[in-house]
Amino acid sequence: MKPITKLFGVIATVGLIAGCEIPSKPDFKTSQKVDVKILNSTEFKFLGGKKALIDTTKGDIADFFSTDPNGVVSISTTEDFDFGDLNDAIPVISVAPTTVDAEVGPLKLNEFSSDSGPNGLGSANFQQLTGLNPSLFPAGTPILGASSPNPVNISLATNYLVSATIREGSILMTLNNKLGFNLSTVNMTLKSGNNVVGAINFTNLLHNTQQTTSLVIPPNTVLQSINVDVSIAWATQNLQAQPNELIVQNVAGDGLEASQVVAAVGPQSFSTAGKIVVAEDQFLFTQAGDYIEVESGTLDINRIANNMGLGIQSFVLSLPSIRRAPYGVGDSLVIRFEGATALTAGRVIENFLVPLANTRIIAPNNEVRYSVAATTQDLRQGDNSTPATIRATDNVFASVGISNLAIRSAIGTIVTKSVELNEDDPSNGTNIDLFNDNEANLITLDGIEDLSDKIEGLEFRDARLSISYQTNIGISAKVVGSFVGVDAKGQLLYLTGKPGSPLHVASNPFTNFTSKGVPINASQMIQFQLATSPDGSMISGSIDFNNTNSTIIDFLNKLPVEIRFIGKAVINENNQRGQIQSPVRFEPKILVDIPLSIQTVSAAVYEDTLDVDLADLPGPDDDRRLTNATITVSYVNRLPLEINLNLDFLDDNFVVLTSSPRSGQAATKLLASPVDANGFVLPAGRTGTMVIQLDRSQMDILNRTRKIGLRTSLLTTDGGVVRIRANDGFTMGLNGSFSITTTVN
Amino acid sequence: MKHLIILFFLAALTTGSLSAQSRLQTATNLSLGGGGTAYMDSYDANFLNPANIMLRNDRKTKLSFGLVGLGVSAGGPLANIKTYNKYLTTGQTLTTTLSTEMLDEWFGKDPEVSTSFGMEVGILSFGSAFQGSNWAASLAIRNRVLTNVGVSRGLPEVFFHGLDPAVFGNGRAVNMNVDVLAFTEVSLGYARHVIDLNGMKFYAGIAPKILMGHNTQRLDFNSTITANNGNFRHRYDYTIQTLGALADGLTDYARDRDNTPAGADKPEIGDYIETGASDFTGVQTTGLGFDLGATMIMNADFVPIPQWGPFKGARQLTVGLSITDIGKLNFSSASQFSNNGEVFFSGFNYDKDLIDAQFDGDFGKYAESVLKDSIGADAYLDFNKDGSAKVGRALPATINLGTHLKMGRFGLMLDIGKGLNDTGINSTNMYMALGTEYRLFGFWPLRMGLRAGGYSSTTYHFGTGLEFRNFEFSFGAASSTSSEKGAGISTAFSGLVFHF
Repeated sequence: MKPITKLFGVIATVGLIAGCEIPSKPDFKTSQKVDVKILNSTEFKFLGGKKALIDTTKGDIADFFSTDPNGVVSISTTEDFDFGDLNDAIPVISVAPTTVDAEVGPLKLNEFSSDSGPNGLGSANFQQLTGLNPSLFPAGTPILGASSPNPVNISLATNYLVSATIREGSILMTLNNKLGFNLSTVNMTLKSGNNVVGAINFTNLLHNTQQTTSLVIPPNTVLQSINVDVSIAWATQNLQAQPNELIVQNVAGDGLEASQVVAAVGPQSFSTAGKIVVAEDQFLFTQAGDYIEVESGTLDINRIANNMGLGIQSFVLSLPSIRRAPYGVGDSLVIRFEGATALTAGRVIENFLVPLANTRIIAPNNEVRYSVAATTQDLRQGDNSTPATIRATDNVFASVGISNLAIRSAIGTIVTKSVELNEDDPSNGTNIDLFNDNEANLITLDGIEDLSDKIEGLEFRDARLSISYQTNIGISAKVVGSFVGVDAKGQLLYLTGKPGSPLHVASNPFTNFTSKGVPINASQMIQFQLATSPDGSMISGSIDFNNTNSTIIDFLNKLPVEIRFIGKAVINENNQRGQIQSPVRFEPKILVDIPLSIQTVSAAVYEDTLDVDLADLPGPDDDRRLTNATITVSYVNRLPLEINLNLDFLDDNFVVLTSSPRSGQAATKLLASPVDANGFVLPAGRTGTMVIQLDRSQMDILNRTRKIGLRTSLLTTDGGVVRIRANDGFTMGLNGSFSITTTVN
Repeated sequence: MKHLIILFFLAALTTGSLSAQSRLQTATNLSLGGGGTAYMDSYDANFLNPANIMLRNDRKTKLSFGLVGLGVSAGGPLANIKTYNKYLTTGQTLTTTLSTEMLDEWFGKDPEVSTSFGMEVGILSFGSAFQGSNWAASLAIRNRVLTNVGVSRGLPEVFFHGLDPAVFGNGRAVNMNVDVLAFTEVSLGYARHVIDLNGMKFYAGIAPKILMGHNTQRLDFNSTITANNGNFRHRYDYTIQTLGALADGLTDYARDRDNTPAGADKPEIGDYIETGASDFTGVQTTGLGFDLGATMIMNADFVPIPQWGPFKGARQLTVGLSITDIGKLNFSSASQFSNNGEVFFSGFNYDKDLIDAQFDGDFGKYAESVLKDSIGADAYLDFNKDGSAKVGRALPATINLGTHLKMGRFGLMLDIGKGLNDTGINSTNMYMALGTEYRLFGFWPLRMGLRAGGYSSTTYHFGTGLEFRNFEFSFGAASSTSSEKGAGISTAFSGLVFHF
């Protein structure tokens, strides 16, 4: 074959191959459209089960919403305020210790000797007194009248008396004539040792008779080793019996009192009386029937000491102001130291406590009366007697008080006082701060947190707050304090009484109330009076905070998610007589009731920011892009609210990427249902459609969206008052129309 | 004869209804347009025209054998490269109008008509032929995988239009079918000289073959999508015929799906779909088939081409007629799964109880579940096993008439034929294959050809190689230049062929 022929063949072959069809790299964009129902028409009731705007099956929501017989929904909750008891209202009775000083006083000397038998205390015989030999004068023998040649000294056997310093009184001297003849006179000189105390005469002392004569002892006479000088005189006569003796039969005191003795004295009784003063700073016994019934406490005899040289066989402390049940006069508290508890000589008893539980203190003029009756031991023990030295100033000393007195009940006049209703946290001193959780009472309304956080401007027309309580306080009590509501944004609003109403606080009586450390003033306070129990039994009462007497509407319009309270109870502000008993109970419940009877004078705003990560959506650089999205909401609105919806698409830093609708575009609006004269929606509601449209430029940046800011303005139907019922709601269906561009290259 | 040849040639060039068929593609006949009824010899002739085993094509050897010949052909109207390049490679946005225009060109305007794409892979793993003076015999083993995919216009419309009510508002067929058949042929060919008549030699041949079926898969999915007023409705009806691991997987899936407790996640079908090499190597069934043909050789000095240049030399005309791939495989162990139903979606129902109870209140999870389970597992994947099915797969039978005019080192070949069924890339449309060959230096063949009709637009073929006395190695390739009727692409390697 020639070369030209070969070349032809090669060219033809290459041309054949070059002419073959070869697919190129794909490079195109599709424009897909999807028009699809996203959500079937679905009815959402306002309040109810899971398919409701407010799902009452969730958490404790059910407890938070209620409906009245008309079906009107209320946000309501009842929370307890735990004040514990108000026992601080019970007066604290303080009683200063009192000294009881019981002196023995003047000592009574009655008996000088333990033996005044036939031989008496001493005697002088016939011969001593007459100088005659008795053997010469048998019975019947005449004796001529004469007198003693010399006084005869007779020592007296007074074993009971060693010595005595006489304060006053007399001594009775008894002579027994056994001389065998009658004496016309007997002269007797009483001597203390060699000191003459006094002299007395006996006349016509017949044989075999006794005669007693009194001798006044001068004050301050010291009797010691007493003896008498005796001389006699007689007339002529016959001896009537064998001559014998003139006997000093007895020496005894007659009203004889000594300031000091060394003697074996008999029982010495002494007594004293006094009062224990009840402080008047908290409680006054103003009427005869006033009393304090003691829950617990003691009568404290801190120290009782027998300072005498002899024992006290009986020491009785009587407190007629303190009585045991049944609280009659005879039920007085009597404390005895006798027998085993007797106050022996020199005995000291420390801290002798007498429980006062269940006793009543009846203390007119705030004085607790007492008396002491004591008797010393009897030293007279015959020949075995041991004289003791006793002074009239010897005493029994005791310190008596009442301590730890807890009162179960009291009738009388409680002095005005303020009682803290909150526990004090010492970390901020004595201040009571609304925002100290350890101090303030707090109720939380978690169920409306979302609403509170996101909605603003709704006016709840019939909102109210009330405090219902039970108490047994029988005297006037007024609560003065501060309620602050904190909404979900942290804004504060104080509940106050309107001027002129009883709830209004004109001036703050308390300086230790603070809010976040700043003193609370009267414009942030409210007060209310508690009912008084007539007999100390539990009674119920309530206080309503309404639009007439308080700022409750403004307060609850904020939809507080927590309500804090600090306060004090001012007890018996007018110092009236009343009764109180422990425990003093004040058990309040706070009832918040916010019927959804609302009005929007200007548009209420509901704002929320939802975490919506749209990163999965295509962006401008992705092969697949949404170029148009139209969401059509078909609705039947049976809520009396017009809703204007604005969506802000936000990035991580809350920067608005785009909004829908855009500025200048028609509002995305859901029209309110018409209402009847009562503000209830009409059954047919309002039918309409709402379109949310995003154009291509918006779609291009949607994938940078991490959050969607929801700004909704709400208007009640025609701006009037409307009422939302549980079965109100709306029906909606969603249609989506999307254009999708897919790039293939 | 001359006029007859010209008539065939013109007809082939002017009609797209002429078509190549599912035939053995060797490096030689692929280079020459895919014919070969009158010129492919040796063991290759078993599958094209068994009478040609008697042909030697100037070779002096009597024994031939070869290893690992490969031929791959693919194409069909679905592979419309021209339309693809026109619309999908220029960066333009396919608006609804433009998409419609494109799909009109690609799939036609009738949405009910499916457009197909076929592929055949054949490996002639071993072949051997012996030629005597009056007879010849050969043995050849060929592995074949036939695939056919058909898609209606509705499926790409979903991609290009989305669920645009303007397209799907009145309902649109969205159909698809997939047919796969894998089998091995062990063909024993025999040919002999029958008669000499007026200087013409007649040969006849037959090649019975044992068919070993490895696998068959068939999906026939017919549906209608309607999207209007925000509603989406998809009526569907499909049948899957399969065997092996896929059949087992689908069976297990259906069982587990039906046993899924209420509220529990449905199983993932992907976890059940497994195929392994054994699915295409194991023998699931056997059958018999045959190819037969007749060939006439005559002197061609009557051809009015001067003895000049490349046409200088002895002139011979060969005419062959063959019927190939007669036979059928019956897979008795296949399973059939079917499902029909309707998916209607008109928005999610806001069932808060259900969402809370089963999806922790997450509407997104609920929506995903609705789409995945209620629409997926409970609808599209709610198929039932119809039981074991006896699935018959006919071989891609063809009838072919071919000629080969040899003038020295130049050859001109022309085949026409027609598929007797649509198996694989077979087409009941006629095809024409025209090729020329010139053997440079006697051992370096340059081959060109074209094929018109059949499963694709006209394809142009080229091939070359080295063909010595005792050894040859050659390859061929083909592609279409205009794929309005469907692109076609083929390639083939001769493998190692020895002659002794």
